Amino acid sequence: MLENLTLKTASEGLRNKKFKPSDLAKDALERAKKSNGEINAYITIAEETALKAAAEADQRQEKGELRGILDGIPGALKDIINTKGVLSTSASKILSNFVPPYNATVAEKLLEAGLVLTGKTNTDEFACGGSTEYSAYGVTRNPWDKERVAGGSSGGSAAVVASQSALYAIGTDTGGSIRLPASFCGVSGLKVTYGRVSRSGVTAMASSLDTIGPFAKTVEDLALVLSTIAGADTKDSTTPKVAVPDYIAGLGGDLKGLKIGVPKEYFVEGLDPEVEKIVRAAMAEYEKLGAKLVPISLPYTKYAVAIYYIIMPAELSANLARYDGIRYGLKPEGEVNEILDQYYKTRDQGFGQEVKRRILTGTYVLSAGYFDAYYRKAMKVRTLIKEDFEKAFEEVDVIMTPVSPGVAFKVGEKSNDPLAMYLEDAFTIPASMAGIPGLSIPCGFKGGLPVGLQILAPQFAEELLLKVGHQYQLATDWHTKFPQL
Amino acid sequence: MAEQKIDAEKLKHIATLARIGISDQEAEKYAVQMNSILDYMKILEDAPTEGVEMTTQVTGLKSVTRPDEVKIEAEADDLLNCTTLPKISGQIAVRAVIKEE
Repeated sequence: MLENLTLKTASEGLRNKKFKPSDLAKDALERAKKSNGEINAYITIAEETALKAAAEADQRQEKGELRGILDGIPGALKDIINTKGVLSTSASKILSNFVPPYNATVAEKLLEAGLVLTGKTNTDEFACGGSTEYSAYGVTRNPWDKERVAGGSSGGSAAVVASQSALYAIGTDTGGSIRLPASFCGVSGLKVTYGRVSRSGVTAMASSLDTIGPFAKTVEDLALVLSTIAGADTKDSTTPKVAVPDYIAGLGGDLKGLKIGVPKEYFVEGLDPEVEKIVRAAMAEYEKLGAKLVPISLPYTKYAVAIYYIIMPAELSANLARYDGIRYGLKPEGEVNEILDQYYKTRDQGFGQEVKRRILTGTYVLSAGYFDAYYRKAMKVRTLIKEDFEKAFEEVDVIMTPVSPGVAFKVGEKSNDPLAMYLEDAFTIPASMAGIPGLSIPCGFKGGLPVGLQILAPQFAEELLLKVGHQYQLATDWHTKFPQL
Repeated sequence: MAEQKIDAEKLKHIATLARIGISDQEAEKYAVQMNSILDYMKILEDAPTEGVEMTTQVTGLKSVTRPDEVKIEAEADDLLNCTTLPKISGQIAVRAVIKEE
């Protein structure tokens, strides 16, 4: 039944008592269990938790006391989001036994709104990767082509929505980890402004960049989820007291006169010509809707990947220092003689190769004698990239680009070449550096594989972004296409 | 920028700083990969950053404070239950931090 529903229509169905929350939950769990062997979108399928939450929602539905639009709707959470009483591994061996004693703010808010949690989704270990191949619990496969990756790091969350075992899923985006898998899996995904959604209780990766956002079948559904999870939180001091607008009310209205910036630095050699054609066709559709395309330049784009792979590992190495196997986490194999030995063994046996590589890189760029040359330099170049966008947004309302230079690549194609993998994020990293929001929506197919359009807007302009995405989905049907499993 | 190439020995030193025990074989592999990543960083040498400030907080927040109130976010026993190490009177027992000479 989920194949015929969006979050919005499911919610209407519950309100009109066409079906029960437990009907949705049973279908979601059945689909999850059936597809997980091949797709591996879930690390944990939370059957018991989901059925219990659904039964409670059934009672509220019966009494006409449903809490809101999300009440009784099956959704999934990325496994780096702490869920009280439900295993939360961050896709790492080091947390293979970790059952959090508290909920992340985003989980708490959704559970209060009536989330029926289908499970915890796969990701690259500690969100470190662009393909969900670096998970300690196996690769997540692309529902459109199981030989290919789902993108990453929130590949499990994207694949859950594409394989329709939940009606929405939460992921995180530090350098593209929502936008890239949304593009590869042909679903809608939103990276929010830095600080728009509280990160309390979500495993920190790179603290100056990390954001949390939703995946769904439609932009309208993204707006519904964002309305619930956005806002200031005293437990995350980087969430400013910026008012949360009515994202649903903001979806309406035409796009006449909208100025769309088209940055030349994103249409360069290395971009798959067919992907370019599809993205340009999507922008032509916007012209039909009354928008105007404006050529712009973001000259410092070329430095973004280089500074990301300095700033992110530096912050990651500091954040992951807490995994020492003392207060929680892995018990190392073999004799442990002293405390240092415990650290070495726990972290050697607990972390996978990409995480180790990034911790080592981060430790190096922060070490005495290299801090100025790498970290300080990178943080200054970050300012240049941020100013690039600020200048552009003086002239245009939004910016449109491809999400990725190509479509989903084959499993194993890039996993042994870290630099090739890093360059996959070239079009998503600049927005992360500037802290601005970015939307990824499906806009076509190349050889049966989805292509995504990236739409960027100024900080805290999610309302505009969602409207621009929604109006496209009213005019086109790319977002209604799902793979046969 | 990266005047000094990283060899296996240097990489093992970095791993010690990061408290990760790694094998000689891993050290060789990561040294090669890290050199290729650091080589790519050389692109930054041309970036005109003279007089440019660092961006440390991207939305411009400054000195965020909150009332100094005690809140119970989790029970002590629940937190202690997360460890695999032995517990002694409400604390986690770890191996010796200071060695006997």
